[in-house]
Amino acid sequence: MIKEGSVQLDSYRLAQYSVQVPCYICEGGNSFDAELCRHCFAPMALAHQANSQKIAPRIIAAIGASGVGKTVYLGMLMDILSRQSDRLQMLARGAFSITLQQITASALARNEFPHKTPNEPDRWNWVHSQVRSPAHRRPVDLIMPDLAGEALLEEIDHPHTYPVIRSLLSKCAGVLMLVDTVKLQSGIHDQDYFAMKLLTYLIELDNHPKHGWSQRPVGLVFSKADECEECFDDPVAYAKAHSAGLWQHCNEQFKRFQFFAAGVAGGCAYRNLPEGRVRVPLRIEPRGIIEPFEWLIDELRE
Amino acid sequence: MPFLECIGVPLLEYKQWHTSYSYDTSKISWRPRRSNLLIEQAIFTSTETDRGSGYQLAATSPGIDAADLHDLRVWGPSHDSLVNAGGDAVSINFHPLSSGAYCVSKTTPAGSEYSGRSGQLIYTQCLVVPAEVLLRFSNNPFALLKAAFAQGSLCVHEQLPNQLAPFSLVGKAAAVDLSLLGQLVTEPGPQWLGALVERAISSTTIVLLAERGRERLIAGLMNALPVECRTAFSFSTGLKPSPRRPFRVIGLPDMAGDTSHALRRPDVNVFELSGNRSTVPPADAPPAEGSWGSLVARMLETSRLAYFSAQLAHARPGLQTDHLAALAEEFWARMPATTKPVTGVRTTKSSSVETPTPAAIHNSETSTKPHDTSEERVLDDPDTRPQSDQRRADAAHLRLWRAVAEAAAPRAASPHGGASTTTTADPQADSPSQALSWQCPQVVEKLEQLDDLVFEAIAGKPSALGRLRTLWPAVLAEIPRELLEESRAHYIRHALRVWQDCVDGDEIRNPALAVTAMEVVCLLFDG
Repeated sequence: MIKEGSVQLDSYRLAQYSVQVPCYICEGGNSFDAELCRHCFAPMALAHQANSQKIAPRIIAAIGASGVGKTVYLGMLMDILSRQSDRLQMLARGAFSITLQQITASALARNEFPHKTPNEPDRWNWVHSQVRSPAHRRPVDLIMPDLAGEALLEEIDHPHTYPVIRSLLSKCAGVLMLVDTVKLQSGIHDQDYFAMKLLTYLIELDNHPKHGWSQRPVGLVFSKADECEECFDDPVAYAKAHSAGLWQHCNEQFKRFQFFAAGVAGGCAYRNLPEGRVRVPLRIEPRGIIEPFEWLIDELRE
Repeated sequence: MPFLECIGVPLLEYKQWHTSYSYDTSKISWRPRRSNLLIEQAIFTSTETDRGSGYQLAATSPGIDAADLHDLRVWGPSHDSLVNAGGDAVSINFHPLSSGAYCVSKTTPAGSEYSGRSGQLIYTQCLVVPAEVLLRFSNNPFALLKAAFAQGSLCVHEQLPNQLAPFSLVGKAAAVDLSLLGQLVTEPGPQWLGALVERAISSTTIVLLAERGRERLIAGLMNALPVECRTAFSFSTGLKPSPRRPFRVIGLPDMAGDTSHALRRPDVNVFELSGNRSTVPPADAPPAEGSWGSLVARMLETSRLAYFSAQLAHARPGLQTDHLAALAEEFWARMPATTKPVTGVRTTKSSSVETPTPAAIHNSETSTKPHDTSEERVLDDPDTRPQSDQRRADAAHLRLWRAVAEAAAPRAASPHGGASTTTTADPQADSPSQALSWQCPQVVEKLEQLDDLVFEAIAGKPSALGRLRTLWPAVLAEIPRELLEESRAHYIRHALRVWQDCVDGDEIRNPALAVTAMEVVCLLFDG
């Protein structure tokens, strides 16, 4: 029998639950061991990582309609930047940040496009990464989610259906908006209208003249431009010719915007599978992937 | 209202108009008041519409509240939401809505994505059910869904309509599906079912891990609860868990894959039925003595299902899960010592009403019935069923059984012409062969399978008629004719009613459905 000793009360472990950890996206309170935010379902790992850093990471988002190519673009971007060091280098923070790159690269290696991103925010892939450039001493910490296009549309049309989207876009330092070139080329202007809806939504979220969305950088990327070479030649002229409404809207509402063209697959075809007709890439030829992102990073540094 | 009369508006007309319309403050307009008897519909799937593309509420009926629409968008399952990947995967889901109504939905794969991406298209048909209608089906979403399917109101639209139409659903359901509970006695067993019930009652969220039969187990769980408590148990039999869909009961095959994060929440209780197990659950699983789960287990073990069902048939407004332990004590206290166990009950899935065997009728009539008040809901007693049920297709079912019971045991007629209470034994109904045949689980399963196929075929499901042509001769060869005759009469009556509606109906006629109904009739007349 010892005369003295110390035993930690089991009840003391509950004291940790009395301190709420705010979600990095919506700032809602959560318990310290929560995996997902109970308000917006964003991963709490972002908050824990951000708390451990001196400089808070900045949030950017790739937004666009369903099927425009957000998952493929982000995955390919990460795959390219993680392998090079001369221009821009991206280093993932946290194991969860590799998932998007892994899914995209694996799918493309099988000559498939990645599966559709589900609507549920708890099933989205989030990326927390550090971007380094030889031209700049200080790296930039970024958080980029891979959103579902229909979730964006639902939140715009029916607010509070996806609280995470409102919180995220309010906090975004800049966005890359993807527009489907194939549909524009075939005369379907749904992409145009969707893009204008999104841009109007952004302006309404924060219309402050100094730090509102009118002052934040917006990169407009014509995706799947491999099927439309003229888009690569002059994206601005292409925008004026095929999405005049979008062009006009950007000119009037935003101070910092730029049009780009990007493509991942060198060509596409359709494969007949038991579950139906599926679009597949014939080869992987990434073009114009880094330029929009590079422009956005430069704009964020200013 | 003198003002209205002054300006020439007849008071009666104003009252009639006011009951038909309600003021929608969100739209600042008057809209038709939703009838409490109509079930609204919505379809959540991936499609291209003028508004946008992707998973959305693709079609709705006009009477759904804005708040309910918001709930449907939040709860709607999107891409890759089914836990099973096969073409026959299905999930039955049930959850409350903001307006007080309930959503009973069925999620199935429905072909390929419109966008050309790989993966199945997920199609969810949602029924927005008023609380009053659900109560008519004893707050049992499975019974309601069966009735809707038998009526032909559940189907996958190849071409999504611009707007869906609400529909009324006839019929009702017994408080307890005795045949289902009888099946669960065999597999997984009374103790396991009692443990499941008790775990579900005491948990905020319970995940039921079972490789097969999750739908049947969750249906059994619902049937083992008092009617008033069932609406507190939202469930999903086959969707991947998501924080956006906080179901109380979640059925999963295993803990693998991207469902594991849902199982790591502190408020989630995992109940595993997968794999080999003994007839007795582990030491920490059996329900505590005196709990509702232990009552369910004992009722199943001692074959007191009829008494259990009769007790649950009484209305207990305001009953909550906190009161179940006290209710279990009350059940034990009320249970008469002379209650004879009922040897077997078969229900036809087509009818929403339980159809007991002659032995069950005789035994239930000889048992001491609890005191019935005029306000109490006694759904199972055929003698107290309202006259309108006589016009239903399955009314012959009950008249046949009454006739058999009366012919076998002559009784003194009551003043109202119904069955009297006599204690004369019925040797034919009590004979071992009769009891054995009704009790045989293989016979029950075969008849259940036949029920499903016949009604699917009459409803127009393409593959059902072919499978029925194969199954019907086999059933004729295996099952005694006297067990089949009542079912055959019932099927034929239902098919003829469908044919009559198609031919003589005021709405758009469906000749294909009429032809299918006739083919089923011809098939049933063979043999």
